[in-house]
Amino acid sequence: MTIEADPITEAPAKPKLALYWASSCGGCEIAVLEIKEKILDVEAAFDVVFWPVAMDFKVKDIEALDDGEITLCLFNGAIRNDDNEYMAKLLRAKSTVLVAFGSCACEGCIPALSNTTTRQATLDWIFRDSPSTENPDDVRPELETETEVGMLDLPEFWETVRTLDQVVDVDYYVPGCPPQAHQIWGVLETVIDILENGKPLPPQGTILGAGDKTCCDECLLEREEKKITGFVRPHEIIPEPGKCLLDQGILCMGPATRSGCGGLCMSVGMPCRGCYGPAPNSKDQGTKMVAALASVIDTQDPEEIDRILDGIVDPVGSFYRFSMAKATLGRVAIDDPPGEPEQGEVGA
Amino acid sequence: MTATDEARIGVYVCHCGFNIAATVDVEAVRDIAAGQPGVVMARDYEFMCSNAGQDLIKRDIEENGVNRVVVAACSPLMHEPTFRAAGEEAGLNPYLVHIANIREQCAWVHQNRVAATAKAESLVNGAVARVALHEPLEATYADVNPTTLVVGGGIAGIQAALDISDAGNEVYVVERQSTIGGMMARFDKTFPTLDCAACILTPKMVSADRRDNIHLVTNAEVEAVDGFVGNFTVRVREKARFVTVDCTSCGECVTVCPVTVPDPFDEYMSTRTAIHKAFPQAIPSTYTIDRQGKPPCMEACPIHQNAAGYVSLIAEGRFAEAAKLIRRQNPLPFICGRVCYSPCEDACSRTLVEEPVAIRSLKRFAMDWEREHEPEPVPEAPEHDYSEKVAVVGSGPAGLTCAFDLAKEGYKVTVFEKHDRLGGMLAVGLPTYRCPRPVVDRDIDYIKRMGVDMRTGTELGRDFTLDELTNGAPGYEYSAVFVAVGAQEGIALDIPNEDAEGVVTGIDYLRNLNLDLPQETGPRVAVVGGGNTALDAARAARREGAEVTVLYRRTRAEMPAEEDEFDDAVAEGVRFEYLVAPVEVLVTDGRVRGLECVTMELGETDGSGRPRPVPIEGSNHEREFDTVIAAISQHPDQDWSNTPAGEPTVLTFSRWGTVEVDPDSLQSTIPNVFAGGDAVLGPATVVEAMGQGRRAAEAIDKHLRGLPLDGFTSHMPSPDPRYGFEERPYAQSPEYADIEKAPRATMPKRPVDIRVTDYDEVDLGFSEEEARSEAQRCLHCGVCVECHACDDVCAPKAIDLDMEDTLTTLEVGQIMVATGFKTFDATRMTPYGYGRYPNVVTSLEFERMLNSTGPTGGKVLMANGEEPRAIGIVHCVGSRDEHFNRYCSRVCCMAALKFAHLAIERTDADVYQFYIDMRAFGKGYEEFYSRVLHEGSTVIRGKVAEIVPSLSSNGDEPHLIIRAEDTLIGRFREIPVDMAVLCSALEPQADAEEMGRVFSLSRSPDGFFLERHPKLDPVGTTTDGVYIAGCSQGPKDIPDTVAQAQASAARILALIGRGEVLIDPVRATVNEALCGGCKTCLSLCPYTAITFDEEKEVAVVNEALCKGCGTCVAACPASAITGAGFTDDQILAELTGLLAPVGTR
Amino acid sequence: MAVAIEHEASIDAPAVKEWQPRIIAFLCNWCSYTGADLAGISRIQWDPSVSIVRVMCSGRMDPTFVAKAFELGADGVIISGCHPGDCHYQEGNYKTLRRVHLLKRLVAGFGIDAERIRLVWVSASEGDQWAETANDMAREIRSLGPLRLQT
Repeated sequence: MTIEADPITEAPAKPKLALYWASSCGGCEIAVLEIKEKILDVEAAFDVVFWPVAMDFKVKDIEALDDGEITLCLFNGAIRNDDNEYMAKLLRAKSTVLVAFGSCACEGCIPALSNTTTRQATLDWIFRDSPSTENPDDVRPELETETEVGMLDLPEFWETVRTLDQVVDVDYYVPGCPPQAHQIWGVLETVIDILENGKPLPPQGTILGAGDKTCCDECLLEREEKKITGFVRPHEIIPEPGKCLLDQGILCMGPATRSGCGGLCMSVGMPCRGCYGPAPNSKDQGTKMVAALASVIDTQDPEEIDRILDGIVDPVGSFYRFSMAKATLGRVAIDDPPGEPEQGEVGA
Repeated sequence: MTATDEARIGVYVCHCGFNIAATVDVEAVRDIAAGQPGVVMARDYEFMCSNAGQDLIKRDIEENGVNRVVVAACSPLMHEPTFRAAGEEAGLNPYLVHIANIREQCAWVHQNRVAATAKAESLVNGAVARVALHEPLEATYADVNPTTLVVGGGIAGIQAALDISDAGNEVYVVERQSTIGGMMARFDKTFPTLDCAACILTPKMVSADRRDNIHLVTNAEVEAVDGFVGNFTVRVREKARFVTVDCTSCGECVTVCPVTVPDPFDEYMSTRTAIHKAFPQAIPSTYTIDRQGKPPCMEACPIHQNAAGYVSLIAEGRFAEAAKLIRRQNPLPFICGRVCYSPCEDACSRTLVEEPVAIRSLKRFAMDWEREHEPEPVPEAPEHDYSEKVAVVGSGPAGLTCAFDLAKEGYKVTVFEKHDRLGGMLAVGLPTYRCPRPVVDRDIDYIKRMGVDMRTGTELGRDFTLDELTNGAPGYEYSAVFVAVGAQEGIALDIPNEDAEGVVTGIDYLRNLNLDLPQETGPRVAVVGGGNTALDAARAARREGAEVTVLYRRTRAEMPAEEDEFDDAVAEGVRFEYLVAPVEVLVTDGRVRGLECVTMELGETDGSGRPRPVPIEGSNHEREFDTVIAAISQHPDQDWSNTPAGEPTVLTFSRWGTVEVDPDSLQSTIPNVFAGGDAVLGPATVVEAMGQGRRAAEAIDKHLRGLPLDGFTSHMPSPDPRYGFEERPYAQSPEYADIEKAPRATMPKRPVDIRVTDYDEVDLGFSEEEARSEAQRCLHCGVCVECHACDDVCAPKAIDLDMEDTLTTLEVGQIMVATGFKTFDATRMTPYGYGRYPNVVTSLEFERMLNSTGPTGGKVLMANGEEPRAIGIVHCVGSRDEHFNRYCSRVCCMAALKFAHLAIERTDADVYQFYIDMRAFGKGYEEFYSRVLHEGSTVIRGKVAEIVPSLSSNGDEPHLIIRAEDTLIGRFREIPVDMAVLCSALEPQADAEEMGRVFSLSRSPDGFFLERHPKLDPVGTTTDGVYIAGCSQGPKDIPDTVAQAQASAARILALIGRGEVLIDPVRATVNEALCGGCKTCLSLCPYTAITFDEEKEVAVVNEALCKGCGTCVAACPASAITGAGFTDDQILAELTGLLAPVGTR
Repeated sequence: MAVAIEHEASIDAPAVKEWQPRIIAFLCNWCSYTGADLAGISRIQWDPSVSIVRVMCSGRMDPTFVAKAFELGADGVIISGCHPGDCHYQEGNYKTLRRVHLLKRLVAGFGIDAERIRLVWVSASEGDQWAETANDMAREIRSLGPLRLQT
């Protein structure tokens, strides 16, 4: 892939780079800066046309661009309202290469945990029920509000949090919450290399900046044959140093999680929580972890099994903390009156 | 072809005649399938499994480029092999053929055509989606081990073994009983032909025995089976039969075995000896000794004397043999028969019925009988002739036993005794009224006759020193020394004025009397103490004419003295005062005038486990006595160990003055010096001392033979954990309560008024009759009594009581299980009174009765020995019965008719049959039925309600009344009979479940082993290479059993002929590129097929061990393990197809 | 997606055009699948809404399959293996037992009634038990109604 020269200066124009955050914490944006002085190389290689968190651009600037004019767009954040959706579609149209950047865009991540409940419940909690809420008149956000400065509007808050690729086509994925700096630089380096040396792009859908095994592969802790007699939460014990946390009963998602982070959490005595998403060949991060974990529970007595499983607080939250939006079981059924389903609707 | 080829799927829907087509619209299914992606051909056909049907598939593969096949037909368990083979013949990898089960799991179980068709469509869609992702798999092959295991030596097992060995293959037959032949061997005649069971069975048994390539492993059980078809590894435990193969089955042993127990082979209606052969034609003909561990009396005895042995011999009046057996192990039989404290009696199982057998008195009887009736026994020549000499110091029970054992071994033994009379405590401490001098001398003389040199009046430490003995000083060239100097020093009361005239220790008092040394006894004697010595002294003092009071500081309950002797003492007028102890000897001019005593009370328990006596303040009081005998205890003196030269001895002593030795070998701190008896134990009993002597003798022998003594374990018995008290007695007498009570015999004694005037023996011994009847109380609770009678008569010396179970591992290719049945426990059918009325018998009991070798020699007899005048044969006892077994036992009707025929043939009795339905389905059965009818057996159609005794009684045997409704005439009937025969149901063996696990066989709801297919594979099982036959699969008669056995044999031979077995390529493999090395899978594989490659840090599956269950595949959190034939993608595709929309009508 | 069918007077004959459940059953090859075949051989009727997927051992059952089945429109899932202690592969069925316990907790978290998953032990000889299981599950699912997953 090549870029034409600037019609006026004749100097070869730099490829355009856009970064955007949809429903996200901003961590991914900060992570980009974690590549430190290399950001200068990025500046040298790219013409940054959009990066709300760092530079002052307006959406209209993007709308003004031609389709595909942006060479590379790193899109982080999940899609949970109309505005996210609009920006996703806009950037998709304007970008040649759209990358789902970070766990939110790839799998839904923390925002998608609200898929374990309903929009109504979420709003009620935020604007009424949460202990920190002081809202006696139960004021709620309106899509449109008339004010002296004119009509203000808010984007529609969705029932279900979605990943980027559930809304638009995505070319590549960079998982992680956030993606690790060395991985980010690795990706950018590859792209730069491709641009400068006209190399072919990797096949669409490729996951970049991650490993092709599971976390255990990078984890330095020592593992034994697994026999679990009880679960503990990280704050309940001081783990034996150097020993596999799961072997010690701490629910570690490492075995079912893609490698790439370098075993970061485990190296500081915290269990993997699964931010790099399902293992390369895995169909579902949560159910595979269920399969593995239950298999090695060390009893055959049903009551004892239940006693041990009671140690797993919030199974859904534990097994799908980052991949809820991609869970095979979709999202919690919304209990609206189950009217007579039409043909082809049931469970489809 | 490879999976990358584009899938061209052919779908073939089978009508299976109407089986499928009646419920499923096969054309509709075909059309739907035709529209599925990848399907290039969809056909339906009447019978796909027919050649024509298979040709359709082959042609499409060959001519129309079909490279995947779905057959929608019957269960894959049925025809998957057929269609895979068809595909293979057309050049298609067999694993690219998949079956959709639309018969067993669709057409046959649904009635609604629309629903069934829709479901069939889904099933086919699933199969199509799945097969598209199938990959060619290469089956591997393993060699078939031609050796076969047959489990169960009944007619089925025998027949199969013969057939398989006919083809020149090795066969192992493992049989639980001591003989092959199984149930059939116990039958008399067989229906319907009435040929005798033995006549047709025994020839087969014999040839099975003769065949070189048939190995009969009897008295054995299969403990574990490992491996898979073609190559099983089987662990077999062969229980010790205690008779070696040298047995010529001459039967001499049976004539001499004194033990009789009920015989299970005869349904416990007769008895057999402990050493036995199940029946005359038993194969192997080797006899078997029935043992339940060791008799407890034997285990309890410190010298391991097998009491049960001589008791059993006495019971048979074989007194001389009894005495001989006693002498075998006991150097002091006469003495033990009188003064042993008989721990054997404490262990006796008879205690659980009422009282223990009077074992000690029986021993005394045997020995006295020998003395009166037998010539002087001549000691056997020693086993060896050793040059070493051994010195035994002390001629007490310990020393004498040691000398006896060592002399028997062939050592030169010298016994040194400091007194002028031999016997140690036996001579000086034992009053003659308990054990007369001639008795003691007789025992000692016997030992003398063994060549033991006895030197009296020579005292260690006075006449010679330990150093001289140990260092082989001139005249003392001994290789080893056994010090058994006893504990003969009385312990003082340790109170003021103890040295006064008239105060003497119990042991000194007895010694003086025994050795006729001066010993005056005042008119009023106090004996202080409560042990045997105290009582001996007290009773002796009575005989000296004194008035005797025993002062004991505790109560009767804590008194260590033996029951018998206490009773005798009381009878002889000895007064006992408890909770009183002397605090000072009252003296007038140097002579005892009495004792100041204090009253005690019992405090808390002390070290000895007895409550400690505590003086009561101010309870002091004076008592008048002329003689005070202090008999509280003794300890060994240690003067003997002092060497005159004053050199310190290297022996060490405990604070009680006993010699410190190794508790096992009794070796002292000087290697060639051993010590035992009271010198080590402190004051103990005769037999305990003897036990030590025996232990020392064994240790000394080992020592002199240069064998190491570390870890020395004596032959001395340690109780067999497998047989505690509760397990006994022998199984045939399940409840002690069932055993008729018979009080223990007591020996007559001389009248008190006479016996207190002299020192003659008090107990008079048993008469022969008393002895025999007392001995007959023995329950033979260990069955074999180890009397060695069989040993003595066995010409080929085939008896080996030390034999142990042998564990063998067999490598076999295939297994046939024919473990047979057990009969229904008729006592559960309470209304029929089995177990309550003697003349209600089971079919098996009746069968044995009819058998010429049975308990009645083929006669039909009631319990009173009379011939019954009427017999009622009751069908379906426990069969076809909601409460017990719902199934029909299939053989009872015919067996009942056989019984009727034989009863009519052999008695004048009227014979009635009570049946529900007459099942005469077999060849010649119906004819047999009508034949028996014509012979005059009355048949009544109706289930028997109950069997009750009639009021009118016929002699001592009341009639039985059989109450039943006659459903043919619709009337209730009561038939009086003398005997009722219950045709009990055939049930699975008690351990069928466990056996099922061992051979991984499924069982049907009735508990019998489950065949692979009720019609098409009646002898196969769900475990490849394991076949079933005979009644372990379900009740059946002999013809069917033999047919099944031969069917199994044919199946086994077929596979042996093929020589190799296909190993299903359904296996797990790890994709190293994906495995993160989490080790989750390692603990999951029951076959340990998964190991961890520490190098690559990935899991590795050993395909040879993997059985393809797929558990690890499902568990792998990285989805790095693939299960060939059942991959995630294939199963998910099947789900997608199954759940995809289908034509809605 | 549902199949609407006219039932004739057969098991639980429901009204015409009534919604019919889709139930997937994972059966182990040795005990349960053979047991289901036995039901067929004995012509013991069971509810057509149950479709069987054969696996070698109940231990092959991957919770992912159950999730996928629900995603693809199943209203209920049966998992059946050999009785405890009788597993052809020694203890695969125990692994399944443990997985199902955890899986039920998981699906409950997704708002799916855990009763939609049922683990049973059916031996090769228990054709009638299999039929009873299938019918009982179908009854249960009918009373629970269709599973409606939001996506």
